[in-house]
Amino acid sequence: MIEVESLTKRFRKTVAVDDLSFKVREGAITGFLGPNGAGKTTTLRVILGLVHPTAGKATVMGRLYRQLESPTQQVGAVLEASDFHPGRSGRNHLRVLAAATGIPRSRVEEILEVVDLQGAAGRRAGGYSLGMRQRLSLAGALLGDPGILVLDEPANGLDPQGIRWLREFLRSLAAEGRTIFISSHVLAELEQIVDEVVIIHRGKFVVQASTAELVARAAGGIRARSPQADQLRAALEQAGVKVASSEGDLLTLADATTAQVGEIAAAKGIVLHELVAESSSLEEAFLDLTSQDEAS
Amino acid sequence: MRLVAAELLKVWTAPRTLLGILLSELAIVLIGTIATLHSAVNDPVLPPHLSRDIATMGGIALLFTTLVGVLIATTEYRHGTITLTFLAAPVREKVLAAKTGAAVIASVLLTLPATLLPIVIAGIWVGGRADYHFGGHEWQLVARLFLGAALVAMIGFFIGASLKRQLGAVILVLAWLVFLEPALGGLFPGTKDYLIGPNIGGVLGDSGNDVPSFGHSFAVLVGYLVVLGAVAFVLTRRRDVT
Repeated sequence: MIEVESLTKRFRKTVAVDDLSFKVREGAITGFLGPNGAGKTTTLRVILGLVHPTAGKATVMGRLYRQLESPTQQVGAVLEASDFHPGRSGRNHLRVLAAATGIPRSRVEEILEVVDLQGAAGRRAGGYSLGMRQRLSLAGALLGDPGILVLDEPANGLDPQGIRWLREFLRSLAAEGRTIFISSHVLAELEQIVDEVVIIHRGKFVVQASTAELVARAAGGIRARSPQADQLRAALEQAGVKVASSEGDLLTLADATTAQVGEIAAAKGIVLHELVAESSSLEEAFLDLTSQDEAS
Repeated sequence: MRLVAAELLKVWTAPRTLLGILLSELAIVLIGTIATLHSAVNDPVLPPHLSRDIATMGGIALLFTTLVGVLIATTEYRHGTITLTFLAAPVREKVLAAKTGAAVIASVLLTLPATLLPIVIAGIWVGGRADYHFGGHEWQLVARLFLGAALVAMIGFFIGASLKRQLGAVILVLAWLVFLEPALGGLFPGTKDYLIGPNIGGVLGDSGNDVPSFGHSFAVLVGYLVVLGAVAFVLTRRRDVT
């Protein structure tokens, strides 16, 4: 669907994207994560044909963006919430886009309704709030009813209400079977809507995985508390379970499951006061992975 | 044609700047027309060049069409809307060609009232007099005015498209035409035949001994368009939109 192959982009001496490769799966919501300055926006702009790669390529449905026959009817993009002429009304902004792409004017009214912007459509876009601008951007992206959406930090600067609206809106778009590739550094937002994530750092690929897999990978292990901690430790080590640390009655185990530890303890008659799998959020996973990358 | 229509819609739906330019242009033309006619009717016989002066009164439009050319090229970069334009039409050469077309159409729309206003006023004021004759030669001058306006609009457009920064492009165009060219022509008289300003005079059919011929001027201006256009196309195609 979207494929980035050995992509490198240099701006003079700065390497914004460094030999980056990944694929975005069809019909999935894929998050594109990385700290500020990681190269997310540059990558998205290369995908959309706005920035020329120094090396490698990025294709959409096997073709460069500029080779797509009806690009806005195949790919919708939201890049910045301020890409409007401040003196042009929201409705006219969409009419201009429709005129450039041969989309009928009636579609403008339809899409204004979809993003709930009919009431303000006659007002100049320069007077819109950030939330309204994001809606207008989304309306522009959806004008051609594309199957693929590329969104660059769409939640940036939105208030909690706006973020909630956006989340629900994206869910409804995904339910229609669209492929959504969404970048963000607001990780808590992505965690609730994405199926998969691609993480980059300093322009380089870090990992691509499902959110569940990623969280599990970065999970903090097992925490076991027992008044017989020494006996438990011995039993676990005998069973080949590595104890990462022990402090008083608390043991931390890196590569084990709660079931495994519970069974070993029961077999040896060891009392357990606590047995917990440390949970991790996508944010923790992200911080963990990017800090690993930084260290290496 | 679809892209040209979209470009014209952009101008139409954010008309403040264009309206300001149009009103300024008409105010200047109106003042010039009234002053010319007022001074002419004081003489018992109208000056023989009056009809020519009326026909070329709208020449001020050329300055404004040059600026409109620059603005059509640079406004989208200024407001960031060029991103959406290139997303809708990723083959940038097509966008540039459409914008060039829009600049030419805008130049006609700006030149039309600037040429008609003095003709209509003169028609009302002195049209009934036997010594006022506005005929084929004058209409030819008017036609040349439209041609000149289209040529300078494209020159302004290509400079704007190459520089992309609006203020910089406006300053460069004005400095070039108002200061640099006259200075160059003064210091090196041999260059005059190849400068934009004197050749616009040639296209418009200015009177005077040192005005280049229409054919020469048209060829020189087309030469400028080819070079500036090529630069604009290459830079626009290679430019990263960040």
